[in-house]
Amino acid sequence: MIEQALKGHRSYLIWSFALLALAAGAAYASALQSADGFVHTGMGNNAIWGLYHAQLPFLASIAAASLAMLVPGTLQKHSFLAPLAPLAAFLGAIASAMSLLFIAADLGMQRRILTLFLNPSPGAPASWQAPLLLLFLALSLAVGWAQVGAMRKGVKQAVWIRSAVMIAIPAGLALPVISAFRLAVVPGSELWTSALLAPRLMVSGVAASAGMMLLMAVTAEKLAGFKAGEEALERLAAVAAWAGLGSLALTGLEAGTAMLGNVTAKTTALSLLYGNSPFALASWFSLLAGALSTGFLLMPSLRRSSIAAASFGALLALSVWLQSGLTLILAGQLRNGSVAVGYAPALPEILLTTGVWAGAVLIITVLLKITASAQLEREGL
Amino acid sequence: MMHNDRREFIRKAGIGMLAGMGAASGILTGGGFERTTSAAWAAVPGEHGRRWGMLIDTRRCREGCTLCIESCHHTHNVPAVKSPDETVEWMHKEDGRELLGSLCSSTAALPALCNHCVEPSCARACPTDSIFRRTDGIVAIDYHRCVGCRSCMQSCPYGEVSFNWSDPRASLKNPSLDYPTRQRGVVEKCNFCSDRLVRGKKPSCVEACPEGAISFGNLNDPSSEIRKLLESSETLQRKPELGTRPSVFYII
Ligand code: SF4
Ligand code: SF4
Repeated sequence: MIEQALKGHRSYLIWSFALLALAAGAAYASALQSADGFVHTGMGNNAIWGLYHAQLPFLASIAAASLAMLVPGTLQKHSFLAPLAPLAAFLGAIASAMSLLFIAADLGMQRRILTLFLNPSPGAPASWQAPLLLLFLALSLAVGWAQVGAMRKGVKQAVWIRSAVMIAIPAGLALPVISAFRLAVVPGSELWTSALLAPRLMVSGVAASAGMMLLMAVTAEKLAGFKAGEEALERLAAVAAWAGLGSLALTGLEAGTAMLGNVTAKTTALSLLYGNSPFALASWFSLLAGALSTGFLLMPSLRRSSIAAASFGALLALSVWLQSGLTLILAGQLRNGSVAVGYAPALPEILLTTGVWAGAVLIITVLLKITASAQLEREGL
Repeated sequence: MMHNDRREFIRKAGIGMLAGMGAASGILTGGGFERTTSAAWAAVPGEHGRRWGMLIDTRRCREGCTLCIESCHHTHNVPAVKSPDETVEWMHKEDGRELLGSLCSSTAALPALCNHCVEPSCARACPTDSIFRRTDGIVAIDYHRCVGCRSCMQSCPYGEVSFNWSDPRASLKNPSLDYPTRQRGVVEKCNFCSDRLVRGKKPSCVEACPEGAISFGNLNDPSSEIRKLLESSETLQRKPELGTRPSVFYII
């Protein structure tokens, strides 16, 4: 089935090569960084973590959320999500692979990366992250691949897939919790020690991944003849809408508690995000974009149009990425506003980050192509 | 050992800790708890084993003097990196109020270093156990194991961990032969002179201070000089409310 990846329309090939070029940029930036260390990044004593770490909570939440679609799609008979199950599995696999790449990019001593797997310290949440990501990557990749294979051959899926999904459930659910706990070990940072952080990552992850899957499925349908089914798409839009609402509610609860209690530490944390902060614009944009896209997706008449659903799904995903990815990490490390020195990523850092994303989009494109071809083959077209 | 300490701490401390913190913040002076004094030491119950600690007498520390820092940095080959965003420090001086809060009357710059916390949040953040608490209370770093993820740096609430953003050897003019140098990409911080303690010497900053402002000793030994000073003086710790239980104290 892999040969399908190399065939296609001209636009498919151009798109793929563009992504490949961006990914090559990442390889260049990463070579630069291995040679000279972090001097080519905007990180320093005032921004200990930058763009790389900022991807981790978001990606962990996407990986966990892929379960929300993979589990019913695989374990329940006649689930409307069944046609989307392999897509969800690949989404989980890609999110965990990207996380591993960003973890690697963020190490000062990259050649010691195996230490993360060989010498963990179980008392520290951080040491569970890389091994669990690797496990989740292997499981979801295997499941997705086997499902596409079964679909192509028109046979029932193998029995082991169910067991693999069962193991993937706790591993996947642990990912956002670990991401949140990695931040919770920082005493005195209210933004990071909030107990709502892990649930917020989970719920917003469901919203974002449903949004991204809408975008992926609709694009693949229009361009490659992939068939998700109208019902599946509409339900997916509903999932995105309700999860988006849940995520907004959690944000509101956190803000409400902070403002009513008027505890300095908590209101300071809020103002690091929305107040006098270099990240205020991104935070407000994320909040408004989230409210807007959730509002539109909640309207059944709108979400029935696949184009509108895909666009608002994408906007919702962007809003979540800004909130649980970028601003959470970057604003969270400002201390009391006294050292509100903003952080601006340097070019190699941006190249590496966009390159990893481009690589991921490329893989998704190819996988969608393969899945669509498998569907077509099965229908004997 | 860390877990033993913690269990013991929970069993014995409980109320005593509360009383001490209350006292330090001036709320519970003379309350019904076991013992209240404004000395930070009252917050720490008796424990077994060794726990190295330091006591800095802020009244004796001279304005403008940096002899302790110079000696420390020379002894341990701490690079003098120029760029302010990439500095590496084991010891530095900071405004007394910033350091110790409003209870500190001095706004003079006071020495600050890793507190060798009993509950180090840096160690809870490290994915590879490269920064860890030894049985003698020293929080140490294994430079050969550290992967450079900077989690410890992020989670030390005192900002006492430094990362080698650039090659530290390039910034060493006159390296000492008694202590190794580091590589780019690992973290470092004060090691309470564990390298000198094994050779029976006192920490380098203690020896360097012409005013004798820095005392060092076993906090768990009631007959040690540092304990006597702690019990007879008004002392503060940095951010005791965070529960890290620093082993560095300041006489105010
Ligand atoms: S002062 Fe910071 S680096 Fe030192 S032991 Fe405490 S938390 Fe760790
Ligand atoms: S930078 Fe090194 S010592 Fe610090 S948490 Fe990471 S691996 Fe551990």
